Amino acid sequence: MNKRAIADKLLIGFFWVSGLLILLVLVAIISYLIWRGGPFISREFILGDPAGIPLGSEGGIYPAIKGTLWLVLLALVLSVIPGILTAIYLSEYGCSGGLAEIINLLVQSMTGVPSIVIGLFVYALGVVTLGWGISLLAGGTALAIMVYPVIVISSRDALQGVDENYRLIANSLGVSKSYTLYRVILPRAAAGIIAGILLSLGYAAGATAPILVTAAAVIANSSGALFEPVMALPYHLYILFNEHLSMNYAYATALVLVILLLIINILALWLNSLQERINGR
Amino acid sequence: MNAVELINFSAGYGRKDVLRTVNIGFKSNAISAIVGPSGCGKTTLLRSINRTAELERGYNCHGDIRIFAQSVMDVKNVSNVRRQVGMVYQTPVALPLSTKENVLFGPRYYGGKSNAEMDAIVEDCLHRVALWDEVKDRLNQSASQLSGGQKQRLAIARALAVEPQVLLLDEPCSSLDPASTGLIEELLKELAVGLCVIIVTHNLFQARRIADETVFMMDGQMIEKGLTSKLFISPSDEKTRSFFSGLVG
Repeated sequence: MNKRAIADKLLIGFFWVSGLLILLVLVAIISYLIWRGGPFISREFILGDPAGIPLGSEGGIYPAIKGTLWLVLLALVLSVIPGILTAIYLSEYGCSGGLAEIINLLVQSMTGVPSIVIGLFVYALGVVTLGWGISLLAGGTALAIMVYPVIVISSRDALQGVDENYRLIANSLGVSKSYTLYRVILPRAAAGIIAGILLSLGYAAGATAPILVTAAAVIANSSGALFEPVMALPYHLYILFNEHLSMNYAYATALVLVILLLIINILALWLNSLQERINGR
Repeated sequence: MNAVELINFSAGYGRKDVLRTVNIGFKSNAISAIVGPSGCGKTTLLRSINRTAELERGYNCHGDIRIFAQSVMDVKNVSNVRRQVGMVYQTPVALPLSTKENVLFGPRYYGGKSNAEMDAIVEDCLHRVALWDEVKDRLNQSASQLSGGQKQRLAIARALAVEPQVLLLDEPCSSLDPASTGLIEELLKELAVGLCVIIVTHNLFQARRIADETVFMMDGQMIEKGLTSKLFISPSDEKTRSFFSGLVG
C-alpha cells in the first residue's frame, strides 16, 4: 500500500470515529435521561400540575408543557411571515441590489447575537417600557427575534435551491415575478421552508435565556393569556435543578423536553430530505 | 418588411462588449439561423431581442431593436415584448406542473379566456408541436415524466401558447438525440409559416437543413448574412469561409 492509500484509510477511519463519537454522546445523553428520569414519567407527571412542598417536588409538568407550546406558537406567529417575506425579497427581488446585501449581512449578524441579549432587549423594551410585564407576549417576542434569522436563512436557501431555469422560462413568457413565485417557486421550495420553520421551532422550544427575564415563572397556569407569565419546560428544568427541588423530576422534565425536540428535528430532517428529492427531480 | 431588426445595436456586461454595432434584419415566415464560435454573442443577441438579457447583472446596451417596425427599447411594460417574442432554451425543462398547466402557464397569467378556450389552446399548441397524440391521455400528469425531446417540444408549445410573432430558439437540440432533433427541425419548418423563427445553433448541418437565411457572427459582430443555400456554398468573407470549412471553431 502506498502512502496516499494509507493516508486515505486513516482519514476515513478518523471520519468514522468522529461520527461514532457524536452518536455515542447523543445515545449516552438519552440513555442517561431515560435511566434517571424514565421511571418518574407517568400520566400524572405529564398531565398534572406541580405540587408538593417545595412546589414542584411532586405533581406534574403540564403547565410547563403548555407554556412551552404557547411560547413557541407565539414566536412562530410573529416570525414566520416576516421571515419568509424577507427570504423572498433576498432570493427573488433584491438579488443584485446593495440593500439585499445589507439585509443579508444584518440577518447573518443577528444569528450571532447571544439569546440572553435578545432577552434583555425585550425586557427593557417590552416588559418595562411598553409595560407588558413578565408575560407570554414578551417571551414569544424574544423567541421570535431569536428564530427570525434562522427562518430567513433556511427559507432563502430553500428558494435559491429551486431550478433557475424555471425563472428563466417564466421571464421569457413575460409573466410577473409574483405569479412565478406563487405557481412554481414557492410550491417547489415549500418542504425546505417548512423544515427550516420546524428546526427553528425546536430551537425556540429548547431556549432558556430569552424567556428567563421576559416570560417564565416558577408557577403559572399557562392559560395562553398574552399578558400573563407562563411556565416553560427549560426554565422549569433549570429551577428544579438549581433550587434542588427534585433531581428525579429534573431528569424526567429533561427527558420530556429532549423527546419533544427529537420529534421536531426528525420531522424537519425528513422534510429536508423530501426537499432534496424534489430538487433532484 | 423585416419582423425583427437590429439597428446599430451594441450590448455588453459591465465593461465587456459582447455585441458591437450589429445591423441585422430577420424576415417573417422564415427560419433564420445564427451561427458562430462560442462566445461570439449569439445568445446575448437573442436575449436582447425579447429583453430578458437586462435581467443579468451589469447588462447594458445601445442602438435599437424593432419588432414589426416598433422599437422595443423604450417599451415600459417589458411583459408585452416578451409575450410577443417567445424563447426556447438549450436545456429541455418542464415547469413542475402538469403537461396541460405547462402549456397554460402563460395564458392563465394573461387571462381573459374561458375554460373551453384554454382547453382549445392546449390541444392546438400540442398539435402544432406534434406532441398531442403522445400526451393526450396524460395531460394532467406531471410533465417531469416526459423525455428530453418531448420536454423540448412542450417548451415550444408553452412559448406558442401566448401567441408570439417571433420565436427565438437558443440551441434547442444540443442535448437531444438525432430522432428528437429531426422531429423538432420538421416542426420548426411548419411553424415558420406565420412566424419569424430565429435559431442559434452550433450545428452547421442543422442550419443548412432548416434555415432559409443564415447569419455568421464572430467577436460580437455580424460578419455575413445571406440565403443559406448561397452562404454555405460561396461565402464572400474569408472568416465565414474559414469557419464553415472547420479552420476556425
